[in-house]
Amino acid sequence: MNNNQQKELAKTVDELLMLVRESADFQADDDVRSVLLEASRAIATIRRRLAIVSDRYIVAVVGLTNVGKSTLLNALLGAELAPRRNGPCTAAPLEFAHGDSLRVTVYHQRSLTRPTWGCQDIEAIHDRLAAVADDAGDSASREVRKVVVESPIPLLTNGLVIADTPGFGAAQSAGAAGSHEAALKKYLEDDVSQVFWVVLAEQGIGKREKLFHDAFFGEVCDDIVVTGCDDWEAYDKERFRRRFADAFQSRMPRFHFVSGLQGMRARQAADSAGLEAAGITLLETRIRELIDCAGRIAAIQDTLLQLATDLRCWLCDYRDARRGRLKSWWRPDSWSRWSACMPDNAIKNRLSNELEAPL
Amino acid sequence: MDITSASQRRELIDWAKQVLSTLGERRDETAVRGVSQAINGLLSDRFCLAALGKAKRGKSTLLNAILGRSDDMVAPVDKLPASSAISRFRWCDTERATVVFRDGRQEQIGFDRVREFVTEEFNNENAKGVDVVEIEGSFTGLDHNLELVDTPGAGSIHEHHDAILHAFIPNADAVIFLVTARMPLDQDELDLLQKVKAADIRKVFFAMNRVDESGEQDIADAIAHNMRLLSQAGVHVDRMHRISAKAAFDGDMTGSGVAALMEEISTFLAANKGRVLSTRFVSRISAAVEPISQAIEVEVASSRKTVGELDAELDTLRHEKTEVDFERAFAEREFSMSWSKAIDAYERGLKEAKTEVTAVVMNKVHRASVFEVSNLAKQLPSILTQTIEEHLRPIASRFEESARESCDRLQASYPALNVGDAGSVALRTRNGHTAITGTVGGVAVATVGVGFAVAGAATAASIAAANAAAVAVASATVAAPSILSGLLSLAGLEILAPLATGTATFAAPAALTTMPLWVALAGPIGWTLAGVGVLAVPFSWHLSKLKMKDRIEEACEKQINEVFGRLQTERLPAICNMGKAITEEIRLRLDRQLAQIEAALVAARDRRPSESEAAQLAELGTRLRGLLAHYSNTTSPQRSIDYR
Repeated sequence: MNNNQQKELAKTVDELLMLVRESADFQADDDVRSVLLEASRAIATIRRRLAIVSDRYIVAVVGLTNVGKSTLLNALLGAELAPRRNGPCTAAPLEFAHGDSLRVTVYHQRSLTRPTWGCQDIEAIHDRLAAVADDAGDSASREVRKVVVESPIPLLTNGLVIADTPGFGAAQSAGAAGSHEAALKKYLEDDVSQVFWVVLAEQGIGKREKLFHDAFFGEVCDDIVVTGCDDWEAYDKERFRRRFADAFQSRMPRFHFVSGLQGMRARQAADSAGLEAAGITLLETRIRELIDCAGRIAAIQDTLLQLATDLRCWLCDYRDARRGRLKSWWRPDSWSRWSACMPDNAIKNRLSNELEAPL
Repeated sequence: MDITSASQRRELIDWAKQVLSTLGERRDETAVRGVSQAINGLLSDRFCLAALGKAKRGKSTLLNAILGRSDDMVAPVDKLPASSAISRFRWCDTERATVVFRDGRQEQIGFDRVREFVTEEFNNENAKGVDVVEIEGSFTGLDHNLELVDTPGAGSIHEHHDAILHAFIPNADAVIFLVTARMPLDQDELDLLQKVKAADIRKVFFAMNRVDESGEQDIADAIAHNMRLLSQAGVHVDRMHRISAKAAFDGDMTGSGVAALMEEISTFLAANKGRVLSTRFVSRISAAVEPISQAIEVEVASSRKTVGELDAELDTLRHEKTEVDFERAFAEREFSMSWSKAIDAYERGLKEAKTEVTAVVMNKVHRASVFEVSNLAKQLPSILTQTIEEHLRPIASRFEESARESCDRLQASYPALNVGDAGSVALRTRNGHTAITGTVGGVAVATVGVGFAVAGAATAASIAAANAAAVAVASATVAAPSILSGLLSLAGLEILAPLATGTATFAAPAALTTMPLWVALAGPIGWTLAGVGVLAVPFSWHLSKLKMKDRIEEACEKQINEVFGRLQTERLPAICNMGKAITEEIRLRLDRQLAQIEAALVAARDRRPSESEAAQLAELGTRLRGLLAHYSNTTSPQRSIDYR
């Protein structure tokens, strides 16, 4: 079912790409032409992204060292499962998955052995993880690919896996430079379906971070989680958004302003209003949305619709500024093919509504 | 030991003027400007202490605290990165703020308007063109001989902040470097410290700010971690102050640790101010005339050599060239072999893929019922594109991978010119380094960089710049993707000509025209396939008019043939040529460099300065060197003060 949906969407995107490209070529007006070409590039990116939506189910939390990834995760999971990593330690991501009992499993890069330990309590998990991190120094176990922590946590019940990734960006001791980030990059490329990028409110977004975003996970990241917003007014949040939104151009991510600490405390006190105030509830909803393939497809659809809206707004403005001189922006026969193809497709109809040239 | 007493100062200034007059007609505008700026700075007798650090480390807050302000009017603070310009703070009994614009204009403003010029919020992207804001007032906490400077944070998303910051650094006499416990020291911070070091600033006060926001253990860990990284980077730190600029701003100077920091600064200034100021002065003068003095050195060096010596060097060079030829031919052959192997594999893959794609698509058409036909016709273009993509992707990525590997290997094994420290030029070969022109010094270095002609041209060019360029050229790694991207147009890959089936002509695929190649490389559909999907566009035109199943089948087959035919007849030869062009490019580069060195040597041999010219030049060089050495030796007896 999901697979079909995904194929349908892929076809729609292909059709849209053809419509936009053909029209861009047909269009005599240089400005319109260049905007259409820009749109077609954006669509091509979406198309590439569709290819990796498939069967992955790992949501990764990524960010600089010490921005509060672990606190955020703990607030989400409702248990202090994620250890505080102080300073860069292992280069391996830590996955949280559902299991009936507490259990830690270590996966190696090139070894069949997959040591696993049952744990009594969270304390024991932390000790085990610390031991794994210490071992990572010696050559035999250096190539830990990932560590999986299983626990009976409700959020994880329907197959969702949330991954805590090692922080990037801190200067590395000599010799280790780069290896760390290469491993993270590979993991994000191969295993992860969606990235939540954690930034610290008071730090903002730095140049190096942004470059890392562009190179490593820009394609699978629609969400920026701004942590440490304990005392931020709505006005400050809006200014934050505006200040950093410029850097993202057409692929505008959503900003979630949260407070991991407040969330953690609210979680411990079973205070749902507090949890909501800390922004955790909304974030949880968003994650649930992305858990299944349908949710991710919906996310892509949103991006498509957003693009269509942007395109329409630009075209309408352009036309109005020139007193209606731009009657049609689609190549007529391309448009008729677009409208004839797959008539019962919901997303296509919504796109058509946005894209249709008004009289 | 205040050596900037009036007489000492006079002596230094006289010295600087003497340096300038020694240069005579060889001085240029940059040198003159640099010297006069340094003199003005020395005359003001103010010690320039700049607060540096990454964005959001609390520089402005600290300055407000030190100045004794109860508001953030003069050094605005915000939750977002705030400072976007350089502000200088000086003590004066009247309050005054002057905005100096880039175009030289000046405007007097009230303190309440400072925010309009120095913050990102109100002066976005420095649209107002502010160069610096000079703020004077009776700041209670400010030493009268101290000038404090607030700077934009490094490494923020606002790129112009870094540019402003880097341009400013040489103007500082010492630096307060702020880090925080929460954010571990990162590469941006190390880079910033390197800039400080490069500007010959020898005193850095380190402070870890915002200690009130972290636990004791975290602070201790962070300090240990930072100290380790700093010492690895060759930065020696005496003391890392723990401060809370916020608490100091709120009035608690002692408890916040800021008092202790200020104490260290005062102690340092009392003991060293004169010495640092004069050292900085000497270093600024030297930096201003360095390019000229280097140019003179090079000329002198080449004029000293006898014709025989230069001939000998030429011989060495020519001899090495034949050796290198042998080696490079080897590397080139290895490359072309692995390249064509990769192409062969690609070609085989194409053939298999074609068979498979045809089978899959035909099967689809075949199984469609009569009623589905018109729908099928509409969907076929995307079905076809997807099927082709699916089957070609693994083949293409395999090829691209091996192409990249071949390029890397070629580059690693190819001989290259390296420029050494002392201006020597070496040929890097598989067996190690061979110095080919060790003795000709800067002459060759300069030529490799910019084709600098030796005789009589030294006044026109700054050899220091030429040196830098030469190093950049010689040590630049020929990154495989950049080579490839340069060759894209060369190889004629821009456009796949539209198919004859439709009337549509379409724009070249974006991936090939506007994106650099490496971007295309990164996508799942690699550059060898870029544009294939677009072939479906005219196809969709043609197809949408067909109603009959067998006609559709026919059209599909034709389309598949067309796509694969083009890959075979256009893309493959282009890729073949690309391999040749890569070898040619790398060969040409080395040849050009070697030819330039040879030409420089010949020029040095044939156009000898007359005896008296050479003597004059040598005399000038010696005088200048003597002058420059005079203070460099006497003013820094303890060269490694605190910060190396």
